[in-house]
Order: sequence, then C-alpha cells, then structure tokens
Amino acid sequence: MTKADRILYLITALLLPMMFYFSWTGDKEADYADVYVDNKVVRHVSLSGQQEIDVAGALGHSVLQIDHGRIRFNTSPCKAKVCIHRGWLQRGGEFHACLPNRVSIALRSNANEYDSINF
Amino acid sequence: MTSVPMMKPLMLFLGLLVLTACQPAPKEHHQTLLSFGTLVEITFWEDDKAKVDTALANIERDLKYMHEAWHAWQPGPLGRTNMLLETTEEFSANPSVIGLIQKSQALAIRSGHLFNPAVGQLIKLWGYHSDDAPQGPPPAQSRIKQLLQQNPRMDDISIKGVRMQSRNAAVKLDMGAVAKGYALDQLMAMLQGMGIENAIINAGGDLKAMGRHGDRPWRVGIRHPRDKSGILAGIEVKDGESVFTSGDYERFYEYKGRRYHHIIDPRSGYPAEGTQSVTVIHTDAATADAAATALFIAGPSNWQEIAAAMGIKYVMLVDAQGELHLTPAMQSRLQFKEAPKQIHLSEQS
Repeated sequence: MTKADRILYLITALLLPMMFYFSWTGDKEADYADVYVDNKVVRHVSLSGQQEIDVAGALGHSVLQIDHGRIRFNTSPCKAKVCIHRGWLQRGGEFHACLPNRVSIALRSNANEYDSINF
Repeated sequence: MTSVPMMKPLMLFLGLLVLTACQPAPKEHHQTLLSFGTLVEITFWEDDKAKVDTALANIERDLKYMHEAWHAWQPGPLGRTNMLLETTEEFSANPSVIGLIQKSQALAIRSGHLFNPAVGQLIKLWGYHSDDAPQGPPPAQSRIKQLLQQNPRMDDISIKGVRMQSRNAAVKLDMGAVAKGYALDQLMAMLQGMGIENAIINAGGDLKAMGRHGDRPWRVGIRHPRDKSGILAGIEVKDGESVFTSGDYERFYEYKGRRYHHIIDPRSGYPAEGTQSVTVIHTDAATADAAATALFIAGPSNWQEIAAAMGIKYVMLVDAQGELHLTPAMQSRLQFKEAPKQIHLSEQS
C-alpha cells in the first residue's frame, strides 16, 4: 500500500459516516408536500423557494403558501378556518387538512426524522 | 506506476459514495384519507404495491362504514341506539354498535367512570356535536347541574346478545373518546388478515403501528402541547403498539378570554383542569384512546391510580405549568428534544 492509498482510505473512512449522517439521519425539515383533493394526489410540490398554489376543492379554492421549506393554508373558502389557524407545517411526517373543502397536505422528506407525528 | 494500485481504493471510495447517495428502495408507501371526521394518514413498508392498493381501498371502505355506524350526532346505527336507549325499553341493537359499546362499558368501569361515553347530552350541551367549531358562551350552570344529577353511566346499559336496554333515560352515547382507537384495532386486524406486516395508521394524530420500517423500528414524534411546530419527544414504537394523546389544544373555543376545551369532566360537567396533554402507549388502541381521556380528567394528582386500574404502563402527562409527569417505563422510552424543566416520576414500574 502506497502513501497515497493510505490517504485515500483515511479520507474515505472520515467522509462516509458524515455522508451517511447527512443523507439518512438528523432533524429533517420536509423536502416536498403531497397535495390531495378528495383523497387523490393532485400536486407533488417542492417546498424550496416561495410560491402560492391554488387548489380547487369541494367548496372552492384553497391557496397554499410555500416559503423556503414550509407550507400553510393561506386562504380557504371554509367557515371555521381551522386549516389556516394551524399555521406553518415544516416537518416530514406532518399533515393537515381543510376538512370542509376536502383538501389535505402531507409533508414528506427524503429522510424523515419521524415516520408519524402524534398529537 | 502508482496509478493502478490507487485505482482500487479510488473505486472503493466511489462505489461507497454511490451507495451512500442511493435513495431507499421504494418500499415506503403513503396515503392520506379524509375520513372518520378527520385526516387519516397510512404508511406502509411493503414490497407488493398491488397489496397496498387493495389495503387502502379496504381501509377507506371500512372507515366510512365505521364512521356512519358510530357517528354521535348524525342519523345512523348509534343515533338509532341512542333514541331507543332513551325509551328505557328493551330493543334489538344494530350489531355494528354492540362490540364498541361492550368494550366501552369495560373501559368505563376500569377508569372509575372518568371515561364516560354515556354523557353525550353534556358534550352536546357544550356545543361539540357539530361540524362547526362552537363559539360560546358556555352553557348555563343550571343546565349542567341538571344533567349531572341524572348521572348517566355505561353500567346503566344491559346487553344480552343483540338485546339492549338502559335503565337511565339520560344515557346518550358519544364514542368520541374511544371510537378512533377501536377503529384502528379493527383496521390493523384487517391488514394482518391480508398478510401486511408493516404499517402505521395515524388518525388525526393518534396512531397504531405494526411491524417495522425496514431494518429499524417505526419512529414517532410527540408534538409539544403548546408549540404546534415543536416536538416534545420522540419514541420508537414496537410492533402492535398504539400511541394516543388527549390535549386541551385539539378542540376548544375562547369566550371572554377563557379557553373551553372539549375534554369534559363527567363529575363537574366542565372542561377538565390542570392538564395540557396526556400521552399513553398500549397495545390495544381502544384502551389507549379511553385511557388518554380518563387520565387527562384525573389530572396530575390522580392519574397514577387510574393508570394502574386500567393497566397502563406508559404514561406522559403535561400539567398546566408544562411540567412532566411520567411512569418510569415511559421515561425509559422517550427521547427528548430538549431537557424538560421538571419531571415528576411515578412509583409505578
């Protein structure tokens, strides 16, 4: 084994645990969200950047706001506005719905810290 | 030539790099369903996509059936049962409600009637028999007192086969604190019958798991009762376990600056005080569901006695000051995101 071999082995040994950590573990914010209307996926959206998404539901249009890794119901045709009061969602495994408008969102991450959230 | 020997470690490095960068195999499947009056999320770890699709269709169908059968204020089998219980005459009950009512009777007795689904009239009086959030004002004290004096309890109901009768006309069943758990038990049994071994069903925040997520256990985050975005603690859920939380933040309204939540103490007729949330783990989801409510009502001073009577080993109660009350068994399983400011450990092992 040459000196160069040993250096490469050393770099590999150091880098692999780091890459594993950043790929598969850790407190992950969500990467994307599935948007459902009436139990069917209508959009699969990245949570990076900023945008608004208009979703036609049973009562009318829900507007979802995306802001650098988080998402919320911004406007809704429902009466109680429970969906809006929930505020931002940002963690993989979280989900929320506007029950009257039959619109729901489920946040996903490529490496969820949690498979499901209890509340 | 050093380039050839260097190729081996280089190839090893690149090969491992590629492996590390790989995404997990597409064994994980998700679906959310608006059903049972809430949002239900189902997660599978399963190779057979066709089996997953069949399972999802079965879950959707069964949830719809159970929701209609056990609905507290819409016409259906439970609504009919309530009408006939009020007559205090004997009648033949719809079989779809009998198992749930019998299970609830046993749980109510073990909880010292702190879990009391017979107080449906009281829940309705508080405005929680509506799809819309109640606005207040809270009900008149005289009306609450009148209902409490009638003292409806689950042991007022007698069941022989399909024949059912109440000796108390004030009994009106509201299965809101047990139906979700009972439904999850039924759904998981159905999935097992299909040969599905690894799944989580989360119905509006309460869940039951079976099997594992591949080569590791399922991991569940328990939300902080006062921070919608925060996780209080994480937990690894074992095969067959259910995790249920009752909290004062789930359904409530504010009237003249005071919060009135939906967990009504059947002894006082008012929302239970002293607790923000109770989390329970148990293999039987119906038991976990009822116990989370009963222990919330029991509060920081009395929860241990009720937990012991109901056979609950894993309990976390967050009191009104945000301090934690834990069984030692629960403490050993929780992975806190931040060190709690105060932990009160019970003597229960």
